[in-house]
Amino acid sequence: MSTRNLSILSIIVILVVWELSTSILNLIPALFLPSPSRIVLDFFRTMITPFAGATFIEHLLTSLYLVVSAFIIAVITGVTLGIFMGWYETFDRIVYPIFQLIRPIPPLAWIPLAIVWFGIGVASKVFVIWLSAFVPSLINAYIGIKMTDRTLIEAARVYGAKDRDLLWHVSIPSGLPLILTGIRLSLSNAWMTIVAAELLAASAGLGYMMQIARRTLEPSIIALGMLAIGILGTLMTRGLFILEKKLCPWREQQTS
Amino acid sequence: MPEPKIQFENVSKNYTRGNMVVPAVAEFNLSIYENEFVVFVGPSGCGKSTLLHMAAGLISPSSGTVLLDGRAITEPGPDRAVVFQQFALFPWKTVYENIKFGLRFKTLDEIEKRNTVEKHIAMMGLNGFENSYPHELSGGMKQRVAIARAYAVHPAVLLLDEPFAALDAQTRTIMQEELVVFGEEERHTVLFITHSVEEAIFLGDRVVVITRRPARIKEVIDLKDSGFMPDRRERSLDEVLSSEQFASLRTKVWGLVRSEISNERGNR
Amino acid sequence: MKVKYASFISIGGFILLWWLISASGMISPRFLPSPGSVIISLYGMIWEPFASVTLQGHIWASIQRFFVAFVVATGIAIPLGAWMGWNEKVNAVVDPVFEVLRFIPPIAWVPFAILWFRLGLKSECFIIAIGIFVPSLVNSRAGIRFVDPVLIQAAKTLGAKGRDILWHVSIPWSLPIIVGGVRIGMGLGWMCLVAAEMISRPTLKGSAGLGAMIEVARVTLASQYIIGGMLVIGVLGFAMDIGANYFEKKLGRWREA
Repeated sequence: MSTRNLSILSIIVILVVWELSTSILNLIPALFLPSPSRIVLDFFRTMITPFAGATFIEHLLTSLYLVVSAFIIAVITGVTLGIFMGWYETFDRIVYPIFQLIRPIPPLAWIPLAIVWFGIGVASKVFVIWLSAFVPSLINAYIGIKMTDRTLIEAARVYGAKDRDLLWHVSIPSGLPLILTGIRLSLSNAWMTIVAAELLAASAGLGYMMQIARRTLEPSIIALGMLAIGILGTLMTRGLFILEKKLCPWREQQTS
Repeated sequence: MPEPKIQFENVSKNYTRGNMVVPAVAEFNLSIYENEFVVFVGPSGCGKSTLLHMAAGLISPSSGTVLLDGRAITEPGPDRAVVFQQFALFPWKTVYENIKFGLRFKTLDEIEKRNTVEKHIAMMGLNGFENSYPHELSGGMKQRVAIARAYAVHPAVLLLDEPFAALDAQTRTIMQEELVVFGEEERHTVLFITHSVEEAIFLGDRVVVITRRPARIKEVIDLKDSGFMPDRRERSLDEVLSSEQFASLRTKVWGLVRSEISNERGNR
Repeated sequence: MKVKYASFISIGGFILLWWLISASGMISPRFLPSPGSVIISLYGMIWEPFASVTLQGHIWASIQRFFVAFVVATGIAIPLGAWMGWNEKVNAVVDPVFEVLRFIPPIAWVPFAILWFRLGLKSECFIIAIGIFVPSLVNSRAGIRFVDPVLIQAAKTLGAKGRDILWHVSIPWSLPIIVGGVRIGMGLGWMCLVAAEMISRPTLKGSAGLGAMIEVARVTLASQYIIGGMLVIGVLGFAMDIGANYFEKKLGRWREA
């Protein structure tokens, strides 16, 4: 049997067994593991009737909005700073050690401090998400610039390129693939962080919705939230892949 | 006529690229006899490597058979040891362990294995490097290890796929001379692939010129029959290369190969 | 020489700046405790419990959870990943499920974990394990799958078959790659540990664990303990990463630079 068919068969079998053991045969209590049909039903239900204060789409958009805004700020600041640090030695020497000191602290560990500083609101969440997305963008941009092929720079200098030209016309384009990888990592970090942030302290959003669903013992909605997060994450990552292909057509692509 | 050691019987190989069928080898027939040193020479990409891989059992022919001692070759094995162009040494094993690797699958006791390995280390001039890792060695040394590894399993046939192509010219010359010396110490049936005409004439008993893709026999030149310098292997490479006989042979063989290259270019 | 000093000068300058700002009284100590108070509180925690246990108690609790999760996660991920990399059919069966689940961030599993295992050790370990699991499996699979084909050919021509190739070629080749994946997983798992503890511990009596500690510190507005806790978390995470990196380099010694 071809591998592709095996995969499809596997998905079907799992779905069938799942549905059977939960809703039809009741081998696993519904409280424990929601059935696929239940999840689909609740998907439509929450699209219409609000759950935990808002409809499913509203929760989704709240989360999405937060993530995207923090992500964009993080990428702009991270990439810019990374390029600066990679290109200008003195700047690197001053900032890099401080960065190395703060970096090992996981972004989520900043949540309590962020709440002390900014209160339980949007600002503290944006800060933590920004922090988690900032780091990979900076590091990858930094490495991308630092590791510019010396030969390319020499070739450009032979043709008369000066400092700024070298940065814009050699280092940044050649570092672009790495920068984009960093941006992808930033996105997945940002997604992870918002889930945690919303689970801890929020009044709307997918994470909040999942937390409430746990308290009201509706696991199908938890699953719904998880699937939404997973699918959105994949879609955004794929989107970035396509962007990378467009911006860097000279690179042989590797599948993730 | 004795039974051939290796027999290519009407061998063809096709590859499918998308909708196209690309023939790599077409109706190839050749017999190689025991203890013969046969060299395939031809333009790049002509399919000579494919022929070797089929003899090794790494690829199967699309039609026809390759036979060893009359039996069809279906899978790779130590009776047809291969020396690859890229050395293919296991980077996490030392020189000693690399050479010993092939013996693992043979029924010998530990002492015999150790003796075999040490003998081949000495034979290849690797003394002192037993515990070195491949990345610490130069290209020439790596290939020596690869050759030692192939010899150590006492194969019925030795298959060498452009083994010196990745080495610099100086190392290559030395390796060619050394290969001849080993050949005298341990006689094997050898199939050697190269794109260097000089190498082919120096090393081979018979030189088979391969056409451009799909691979066919253009011509077989029997160096024994033509009486070409029968003692050439006792001489140094430069002595041989500067002889008149060599020059005319070289012109002839190169002419054959070159016509295949210009054919290919003309048809582009 | 100069570079090394530059690091110390810059970090020293940073700490100095911090101290100056907090000492000037411009920002209340609740928002920015002085470096001194952070160190004193940390030191004090070695002798006197804060948030129910001493500093060592918190560290030990977190490390224990991490270790259990690590063993379980790598114990499953590495063999499974290797098997998936080795056998196309197994991969075809398992991969679809894995691809769907893998993009769900480990922390998104917290509500289910709490639902299934109740608040406490098991649910926390579950989350950490998921974090460690994914990169470990991905790298195991990739390492085994993408062994240099020439090496496999060489092994075959020397007489190796099937399982021999797996043990003698594929596994030695992919060992550094697998450890690299585990290392990434460890970083992820450590992050998940902090989050999981923050979410579930404080409501339990006996809230030991570094994540719990900083959450309790927040609720009691003891910022110096928050920052102190963050530093300890950072240092431990860093140490683990260095350890894993060392291991990875050692196993990949035979790879040329």
